[in-house]
Amino acid sequence: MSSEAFIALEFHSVAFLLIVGFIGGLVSGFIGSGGAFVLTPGMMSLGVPGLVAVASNLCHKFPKAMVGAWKRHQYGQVDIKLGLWMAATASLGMWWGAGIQQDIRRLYGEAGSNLYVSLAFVIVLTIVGLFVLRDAVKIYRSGARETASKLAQWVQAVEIPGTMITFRVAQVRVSVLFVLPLGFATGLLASIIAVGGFVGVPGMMYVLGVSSLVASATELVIAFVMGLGGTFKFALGGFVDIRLAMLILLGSLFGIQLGAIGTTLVKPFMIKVVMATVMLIVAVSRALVVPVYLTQLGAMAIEQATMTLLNRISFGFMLLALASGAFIIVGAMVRGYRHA
Amino acid sequence: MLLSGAATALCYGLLFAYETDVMATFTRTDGWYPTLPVLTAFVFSLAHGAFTGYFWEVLGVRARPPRQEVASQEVQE
Repeated sequence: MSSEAFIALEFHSVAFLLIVGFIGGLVSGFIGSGGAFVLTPGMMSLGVPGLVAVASNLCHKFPKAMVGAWKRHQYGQVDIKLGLWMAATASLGMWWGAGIQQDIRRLYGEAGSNLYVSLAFVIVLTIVGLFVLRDAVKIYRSGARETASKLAQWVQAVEIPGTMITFRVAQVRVSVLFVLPLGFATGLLASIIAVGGFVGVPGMMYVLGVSSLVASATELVIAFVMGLGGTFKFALGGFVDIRLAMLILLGSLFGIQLGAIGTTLVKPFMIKVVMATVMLIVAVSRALVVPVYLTQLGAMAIEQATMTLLNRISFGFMLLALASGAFIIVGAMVRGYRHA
Repeated sequence: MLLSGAATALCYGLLFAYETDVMATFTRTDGWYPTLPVLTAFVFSLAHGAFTGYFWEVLGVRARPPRQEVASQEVQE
Protein backbone atom coordinates (compact mmCIF):
# COMPACT_ATOMS: atom_id res chain seq x y z
CA MET A 1 0.00 0.00 0.00
CA SER A 2 1.47 3.39 -0.90
CA SER A 3 2.15 5.81 1.95
CA GLU A 4 -0.05 8.42 0.19
CA ALA A 5 -3.08 6.30 1.18
CA PHE A 6 -2.49 7.12 4.86
CA ILE A 7 -4.19 10.17 6.39
CA ALA A 8 -2.48 13.34 7.59
CA LEU A 9 -2.88 13.64 11.35
CA GLU A 10 -4.81 16.63 12.66
CA PHE A 11 -5.49 17.74 16.23
CA HIS A 12 -9.07 16.44 16.36
CA SER A 13 -8.09 13.00 15.04
CA VAL A 14 -5.19 12.70 17.52
CA ALA A 15 -7.47 13.77 20.39
CA PHE A 16 -10.12 11.24 19.30
CA LEU A 17 -7.59 8.38 19.20
CA LEU A 18 -6.13 9.28 22.60
CA ILE A 19 -9.49 9.61 24.36
CA VAL A 20 -11.16 6.55 22.81
CA GLY A 21 -7.89 4.65 23.30
CA PHE A 22 -7.94 5.49 27.01
CA ILE A 23 -11.59 4.56 27.54
CA GLY A 24 -11.25 1.42 25.41
CA GLY A 25 -8.17 0.44 27.44
CA LEU A 26 -10.03 1.01 30.70
CA VAL A 27 -12.89 -1.26 29.62
CA SER A 28 -10.45 -3.88 28.21
CA GLY A 29 -8.43 -3.95 31.42
CA PHE A 30 -11.65 -4.59 33.34
CA ILE A 31 -13.67 -7.00 31.18
CA GLY A 32 -10.92 -8.36 28.90
CA SER A 33 -12.12 -6.76 25.66
CA GLY A 34 -13.65 -3.61 24.26
CA GLY A 35 -12.75 -0.54 22.32
CA ALA A 36 -12.30 -2.14 18.90
CA PHE A 37 -15.97 -1.74 18.00
CA VAL A 38 -15.60 2.04 18.38
CA LEU A 39 -12.01 2.48 17.22
CA THR A 40 -12.33 0.78 13.84
CA PRO A 41 -15.45 2.68 12.64
CA GLY A 42 -14.11 5.79 14.38
CA MET A 43 -10.88 5.69 12.39
CA MET A 44 -12.87 5.10 9.21
CA SER A 45 -14.92 8.22 9.95
CA LEU A 46 -11.63 10.14 10.12
CA GLY A 47 -10.93 9.05 6.55
CA VAL A 48 -8.77 5.98 7.26
CA PRO A 49 -9.39 3.18 4.71
CA GLY A 50 -11.19 0.15 6.24
CA LEU A 51 -8.29 -2.29 5.99
CA VAL A 52 -5.84 0.21 7.48
CA ALA A 53 -8.28 0.89 10.35
CA VAL A 54 -8.60 -2.83 11.12
CA ALA A 55 -4.83 -3.38 10.82
CA SER A 56 -3.90 -0.37 12.98
CA ASN A 57 -6.45 -1.35 15.60
CA LEU A 58 -4.96 -4.86 15.79
CA CYS A 59 -1.45 -3.39 16.06
CA HIS A 60 -2.43 -1.50 19.21
CA LYS A 61 -4.52 -4.41 20.53
CA PHE A 62 -1.78 -6.99 21.06
CA PRO A 63 0.67 -4.77 23.03
CA LYS A 64 -2.26 -3.43 25.07
CA ALA A 65 -3.45 -6.96 25.83
CA MET A 66 0.13 -7.95 26.71
CA VAL A 67 0.46 -5.14 29.26
CA GLY A 68 -3.02 -5.87 30.65
CA ALA A 69 -2.35 -9.59 30.90
CA TRP A 70 0.96 -8.96 32.66
CA LYS A 71 -0.68 -6.57 35.13
CA ARG A 72 -3.51 -8.97 35.94
CA HIS A 73 -1.05 -11.88 36.10
CA GLN A 74 0.61 -9.99 38.96
CA TYR A 75 -2.76 -10.09 40.75
CA GLY A 76 -2.98 -13.87 40.20
CA GLN A 77 -5.95 -13.60 37.82
CA VAL A 78 -4.55 -14.96 34.53
CA ASP A 79 -4.66 -18.64 33.58
CA ILE A 80 -1.98 -18.61 30.88
CA LYS A 81 -2.47 -22.29 30.03
CA LEU A 82 -6.20 -21.85 29.44
CA GLY A 83 -5.55 -18.69 27.42
CA LEU A 84 -3.05 -20.44 25.15
CA TRP A 85 -5.31 -23.46 24.60
CA MET A 86 -8.20 -21.17 23.69
CA ALA A 87 -5.96 -19.00 21.49
CA ALA A 88 -4.81 -22.05 19.52
CA THR A 89 -8.26 -22.67 18.06
CA ALA A 90 -9.28 -18.99 18.17
CA SER A 91 -6.74 -18.42 15.39
CA LEU A 92 -8.43 -21.16 13.34
CA GLY A 93 -11.86 -19.63 14.03
CA MET A 94 -10.62 -16.23 12.93
CA TRP A 95 -9.22 -17.68 9.70
CA TRP A 96 -12.48 -19.56 8.97
CA GLY A 97 -14.58 -16.49 9.81
CA ALA A 98 -12.50 -14.31 7.48
CA GLY A 99 -13.23 -16.81 4.69
CA ILE A 100 -16.99 -16.58 5.35
CA GLN A 101 -16.75 -12.78 5.29
CA GLN A 102 -14.99 -12.87 1.92
CA ASP A 103 -17.61 -15.24 0.49
CA ILE A 104 -20.48 -13.02 1.68
CA ARG A 105 -18.79 -9.92 0.28
CA ARG A 106 -18.29 -11.65 -3.07
CA LEU A 107 -21.92 -12.87 -3.23
CA TYR A 108 -23.81 -9.91 -1.72
CA GLY A 109 -21.36 -6.99 -1.90
CA GLU A 110 -20.32 -4.53 0.81
CA ALA A 111 -23.90 -3.93 2.03
CA GLY A 112 -24.47 -7.69 2.39
CA SER A 113 -21.27 -8.03 4.38
CA ASN A 114 -22.23 -5.10 6.62
CA LEU A 115 -25.69 -6.58 7.18
CA TYR A 116 -24.13 -9.94 8.15
CA VAL A 117 -21.80 -8.22 10.64
CA SER A 118 -24.63 -6.12 12.13
CA LEU A 119 -27.00 -9.09 12.48
CA ALA A 120 -24.24 -11.10 14.15
CA PHE A 121 -23.70 -8.20 16.57
CA VAL A 122 -27.42 -7.90 17.35
CA ILE A 123 -28.18 -11.61 17.76
CA VAL A 124 -25.07 -12.65 19.70
CA LEU A 125 -24.81 -9.58 21.91
CA THR A 126 -28.52 -9.49 22.77
CA ILE A 127 -28.66 -13.16 23.78
CA VAL A 128 -25.35 -13.25 25.64
CA GLY A 129 -25.76 -9.74 27.07
CA LEU A 130 -29.20 -10.49 28.55
CA PHE A 131 -27.92 -13.77 29.99
CA VAL A 132 -24.93 -12.07 31.64
CA LEU A 133 -27.13 -9.23 32.94
CA ARG A 134 -29.63 -11.68 34.44
CA ASP A 135 -26.80 -13.50 36.19
CA ALA A 136 -25.31 -10.24 37.53
CA VAL A 137 -28.70 -9.10 38.87
CA LYS A 138 -29.22 -12.52 40.51
CA ILE A 139 -25.85 -12.32 42.28
CA TYR A 140 -26.47 -8.71 43.33
CA ARG A 141 -29.92 -9.49 44.78
CA SER A 142 -28.92 -12.65 46.61
CA GLY A 143 -25.56 -11.29 47.75
CA ALA A 144 -24.19 -14.74 47.01
CA ARG A 145 -20.76 -15.51 45.58
CA GLU A 146 -20.28 -16.53 41.95
CA THR A 147 -20.94 -20.23 41.45
CA ALA A 148 -20.51 -22.48 38.43
CA SER A 149 -23.59 -22.76 36.20
CA LYS A 150 -25.37 -26.11 35.81
CA LEU A 151 -23.84 -26.44 32.34
CA ALA A 152 -20.36 -25.79 33.74
CA GLN A 153 -20.93 -28.33 36.52
CA TRP A 154 -21.86 -30.93 33.89
CA VAL A 155 -18.85 -29.99 31.72
CA GLN A 156 -16.54 -30.36 34.72
CA ALA A 157 -18.11 -33.74 35.55
CA VAL A 158 -17.54 -35.20 32.07
CA GLU A 159 -14.41 -37.39 32.12
CA ILE A 160 -12.94 -38.13 28.69
CA PRO A 161 -9.73 -40.13 29.18
CA GLY A 162 -6.63 -38.59 27.65
CA THR A 163 -8.21 -35.16 27.21
CA MET A 164 -8.54 -33.89 30.79
CA ILE A 165 -6.56 -30.79 31.72
CA THR A 166 -6.31 -29.00 35.05
CA PHE A 167 -6.20 -25.25 34.86
CA ARG A 168 -4.76 -24.24 38.22
CA VAL A 169 -5.47 -20.50 38.29
CA ALA A 170 -8.98 -21.01 36.89
CA GLN A 171 -9.42 -23.85 39.40
CA VAL A 172 -11.18 -26.09 36.92
CA ARG A 173 -10.44 -29.51 35.46
CA VAL A 174 -12.15 -30.03 32.12
CA SER A 175 -11.73 -31.92 28.88
CA VAL A 176 -9.83 -30.00 26.24
CA LEU A 177 -12.62 -31.06 23.85
CA PHE A 178 -14.79 -28.38 25.49
CA VAL A 179 -12.05 -25.75 25.53
CA LEU A 180 -11.10 -25.96 21.85
CA PRO A 181 -14.57 -25.26 20.35
CA LEU A 182 -14.93 -22.35 22.75
CA GLY A 183 -11.66 -20.90 21.47
CA PHE A 184 -12.85 -21.47 17.90
CA ALA A 185 -16.10 -19.57 18.59
CA THR A 186 -14.11 -16.73 20.16
CA GLY A 187 -11.95 -16.42 17.04
CA LEU A 188 -14.95 -16.72 14.74
CA LEU A 189 -16.73 -13.86 16.51
CA ALA A 190 -13.52 -11.80 16.54
CA SER A 191 -13.34 -12.14 12.75
CA ILE A 192 -16.93 -10.88 12.41
CA ILE A 193 -17.28 -8.12 15.01
CA ALA A 194 -13.63 -7.67 16.12
CA VAL A 195 -14.49 -8.38 19.77
CA GLY A 196 -14.09 -12.11 20.37
CA GLY A 197 -14.16 -11.52 24.12
CA PHE A 198 -17.92 -11.04 24.01
CA VAL A 199 -18.14 -14.80 23.47
CA GLY A 200 -14.83 -15.91 24.99
CA VAL A 201 -15.38 -14.45 28.46
CA PRO A 202 -19.02 -15.58 28.91
CA GLY A 203 -18.00 -18.95 27.41
CA MET A 204 -15.25 -19.45 29.98
CA MET A 205 -17.64 -18.36 32.76
CA TYR A 206 -20.78 -20.30 31.87
CA VAL A 207 -19.42 -23.31 29.94
CA LEU A 208 -16.20 -24.02 31.81
CA GLY A 209 -17.14 -22.56 35.21
CA VAL A 210 -14.26 -20.07 35.40
CA SER A 211 -14.78 -17.04 37.67
CA SER A 212 -15.45 -13.69 35.98
CA LEU A 213 -12.15 -12.31 37.32
CA VAL A 214 -10.05 -15.10 35.81
CA ALA A 215 -12.11 -15.31 32.59
CA SER A 216 -11.78 -11.60 31.83
CA ALA A 217 -8.05 -11.66 32.63
CA THR A 218 -7.41 -14.80 30.58
CA GLU A 219 -9.20 -13.24 27.61
CA LEU A 220 -6.29 -10.78 27.42
CA VAL A 221 -3.94 -13.67 26.61
CA ILE A 222 -6.23 -14.74 23.75
CA ALA A 223 -6.46 -11.13 22.53
CA PHE A 224 -2.66 -10.87 22.58
CA VAL A 225 -2.16 -14.01 20.48
CA MET A 226 -4.89 -13.14 17.97
CA GLY A 227 -3.80 -9.50 17.76
CA LEU A 228 -0.18 -10.48 17.18
CA GLY A 229 -1.08 -12.93 14.40
CA GLY A 230 -3.50 -10.46 12.81
CA THR A 231 -0.97 -7.63 12.86
CA PHE A 232 1.62 -9.82 11.08
CA LYS A 233 -0.96 -10.76 8.47
CA PHE A 234 -1.89 -7.15 7.73
CA ALA A 235 1.74 -5.93 7.94
CA LEU A 236 2.59 -8.36 5.13
CA GLY A 237 0.23 -6.29 2.96
CA GLY A 238 1.63 -2.96 4.26
CA PHE A 239 -1.68 -1.92 5.83
CA VAL A 240 -0.53 -0.97 9.36
CA ASP A 241 -0.44 2.77 10.08
CA ILE A 242 2.02 2.66 12.95
CA ARG A 243 1.28 6.31 13.88
CA LEU A 244 -2.41 5.58 14.49
CA ALA A 245 -1.65 2.34 16.35
CA MET A 246 0.89 3.99 18.67
CA LEU A 247 -1.39 6.99 19.32
CA ILE A 248 -4.19 4.66 20.42
CA LEU A 249 -1.66 2.73 22.51
CA LEU A 250 -0.57 5.98 24.18
CA GLY A 251 -4.03 6.41 25.70
CA SER A 252 -4.98 2.77 26.04
CA LEU A 253 -2.05 1.77 28.27
CA PHE A 254 -3.10 4.39 30.83
CA GLY A 255 -6.61 2.92 30.61
CA ILE A 256 -5.73 -0.75 30.77
CA GLN A 257 -3.56 -0.29 33.86
CA LEU A 258 -6.44 1.53 35.58
CA GLY A 259 -8.97 -1.10 34.50
CA ALA A 260 -6.74 -3.90 35.80
CA ILE A 261 -6.33 -2.13 39.16
CA GLY A 262 -10.11 -1.68 39.20
CA THR A 263 -10.72 -5.44 39.17
CA THR A 264 -9.07 -5.70 42.59
CA LEU A 265 -11.22 -2.95 44.10
CA VAL A 266 -14.72 -3.97 43.07
CA LYS A 267 -16.98 -6.95 43.67
CA PRO A 268 -16.42 -9.56 40.90
CA PHE A 269 -20.02 -9.38 39.65
CA MET A 270 -19.32 -5.80 38.50
CA ILE A 271 -17.36 -7.33 35.60
CA LYS A 272 -20.61 -8.95 34.49
CA VAL A 273 -22.54 -5.68 34.93
CA VAL A 274 -20.09 -3.75 32.76
CA MET A 275 -19.91 -6.50 30.16
CA ALA A 276 -23.71 -6.79 29.87
CA THR A 277 -24.17 -3.00 29.69
CA VAL A 278 -21.60 -2.58 26.92
CA MET A 279 -22.92 -5.58 24.97
CA LEU A 280 -26.57 -4.51 25.08
CA ILE A 281 -25.91 -0.89 24.09
CA VAL A 282 -23.68 -2.05 21.21
CA ALA A 283 -26.48 -4.41 20.11
CA VAL A 284 -28.88 -1.44 19.95
CA SER A 285 -26.28 0.53 17.99
CA ARG A 286 -25.95 -2.18 15.36
CA ALA A 287 -29.73 -2.82 15.22
CA LEU A 288 -30.19 0.84 14.23
CA VAL A 289 -28.18 0.42 11.02
CA VAL A 290 -29.86 -2.80 9.87
CA PRO A 291 -32.52 -0.81 7.87
CA VAL A 292 -29.67 1.09 6.16
CA TYR A 293 -28.06 -2.10 4.86
CA LEU A 294 -31.45 -3.61 3.95
CA THR A 295 -32.13 -0.48 1.86
CA GLN A 296 -28.75 -0.78 0.16
CA LEU A 297 -29.62 -4.39 -0.70
CA GLY A 298 -32.99 -3.31 -2.12
CA ALA A 299 -35.08 -5.08 0.53
CA MET A 300 -36.33 -1.82 2.10
CA ALA A 301 -36.71 1.81 1.06
CA ILE A 302 -35.72 4.67 3.35
CA GLU A 303 -34.44 8.11 2.39
CA GLN A 304 -30.76 9.04 2.24
CA ALA A 305 -31.16 11.65 5.00
CA THR A 306 -32.69 9.02 7.29
CA MET A 307 -29.84 6.61 6.54
CA THR A 308 -27.26 9.27 7.41
CA LEU A 309 -29.12 10.03 10.64
CA LEU A 310 -29.32 6.34 11.58
CA ASN A 311 -25.58 5.93 10.94
CA ARG A 312 -24.81 8.90 13.19
CA ILE A 313 -27.12 7.74 15.97
CA SER A 314 -25.61 4.26 15.71
CA PHE A 315 -22.08 5.61 16.14
CA GLY A 316 -23.32 7.72 19.06
CA PHE A 317 -24.63 4.56 20.73
CA MET A 318 -21.21 2.91 20.22
CA LEU A 319 -19.57 5.80 22.05
CA LEU A 320 -22.29 5.63 24.71
CA ALA A 321 -21.56 1.90 25.22
CA LEU A 322 -17.90 2.59 25.89
CA ALA A 323 -18.59 5.66 28.02
CA SER A 324 -21.21 3.79 30.10
CA GLY A 325 -18.75 0.94 30.71
CA ALA A 326 -16.06 3.40 31.81
CA PHE A 327 -18.52 5.31 34.01
CA ILE A 328 -19.63 2.15 35.84
CA ILE A 329 -16.01 1.02 36.31
CA VAL A 330 -14.83 4.34 37.73
CA GLY A 331 -17.92 4.59 39.96
CA ALA A 332 -17.38 1.06 41.29
CA MET A 333 -13.68 1.77 41.86
CA VAL A 334 -14.46 4.91 43.85
CA ARG A 335 -16.96 2.96 46.00
CA GLY A 336 -14.37 0.20 46.38
CA TYR A 337 -11.80 2.70 47.68
CA ARG A 338 -14.26 4.18 50.17
CA HIS A 339 -15.09 0.77 51.60
CA ALA A 340 -11.44 -0.33 51.72
CA MET B 1 9.35 6.38 36.42
CA LEU B 2 11.58 9.12 34.98
CA LEU B 3 13.55 6.59 32.94
CA SER B 4 10.46 4.91 31.45
CA GLY B 5 8.85 8.32 30.87
CA ALA B 6 11.94 9.54 29.04
CA ALA B 7 12.08 6.33 26.99
CA THR B 8 8.39 6.75 26.05
CA ALA B 9 8.92 10.39 25.08
CA LEU B 10 11.94 9.40 22.99
CA CYS B 11 9.98 6.65 21.20
CA TYR B 12 7.08 8.97 20.32
CA GLY B 13 9.44 11.86 19.52
CA LEU B 14 11.37 9.76 17.01
CA LEU B 15 8.18 8.30 15.48
CA PHE B 16 6.69 11.71 14.71
CA ALA B 17 9.96 13.55 13.96
CA TYR B 18 10.67 11.04 11.16
CA GLU B 19 6.99 10.38 10.35
CA THR B 20 7.38 10.38 6.56
CA ASP B 21 10.41 8.08 6.52
CA VAL B 22 8.84 5.79 9.12
CA MET B 23 5.63 5.42 7.13
CA ALA B 24 7.50 4.76 3.89
CA THR B 25 9.66 2.09 5.55
CA PHE B 26 7.03 0.46 7.77
CA THR B 27 4.59 -0.14 4.92
CA ARG B 28 7.12 -1.98 2.77
CA THR B 29 6.08 -5.55 2.16
CA ASP B 30 9.41 -7.06 1.09
CA GLY B 31 12.00 -8.84 3.22
CA TRP B 32 11.79 -8.39 6.98
CA TYR B 33 10.05 -4.98 6.77
CA PRO B 34 6.61 -6.36 7.83
CA THR B 35 8.10 -7.22 11.23
CA LEU B 36 8.86 -3.54 11.93
CA PRO B 37 5.33 -2.57 13.11
CA VAL B 38 5.23 -5.60 15.41
CA LEU B 39 8.69 -4.96 16.89
CA THR B 40 7.88 -1.26 17.31
CA ALA B 41 4.66 -2.09 19.16
CA PHE B 42 6.63 -4.33 21.55
CA VAL B 43 9.25 -1.63 22.23
CA PHE B 44 6.63 1.08 22.80
CA SER B 45 4.57 -1.15 25.08
CA LEU B 46 7.61 -1.99 27.23
CA ALA B 47 8.54 1.66 27.74
CA HIS B 48 5.04 3.10 27.97
CA GLY B 49 3.66 0.11 29.88
CA ALA B 50 6.26 0.64 32.62
CA PHE B 51 5.58 4.38 32.65
CA THR B 52 1.80 4.06 32.95
CA GLY B 53 2.23 1.50 35.75
CA TYR B 54 4.34 3.96 37.77
CA PHE B 55 1.99 6.81 36.82
CA TRP B 56 -1.04 5.40 38.64
CA GLU B 57 1.12 4.28 41.56
CA VAL B 58 2.47 7.80 42.04
CA LEU B 59 -1.09 9.14 41.96
CA GLY B 60 -1.98 6.69 44.73
CA VAL B 61 -4.24 4.50 42.57
CA ARG B 62 -3.13 1.06 43.73
CA ALA B 63 -4.54 -2.44 43.63
CA ARG B 64 -6.03 -3.97 46.75
CA PRO B 65 -4.09 -7.02 47.96
CA PRO B 66 -5.75 -10.38 47.17
CA ARG B 67 -8.41 -11.40 49.69
CA GLN B 68 -6.49 -14.51 50.80
CA GLU B 69 -3.55 -12.34 51.84
CA VAL B 70 -5.86 -10.01 53.73
CA ALA B 71 -7.40 -13.00 55.48
CA SER B 72 -4.03 -14.47 56.41
CA GLN B 73 -2.87 -11.09 57.72
CA GLU B 74 -5.93 -10.91 59.93
CA VAL B 75 -5.19 -14.40 61.31
CA GLN B 76 -1.59 -13.40 62.08
CA GLU B 77 -2.74 -10.29 63.91
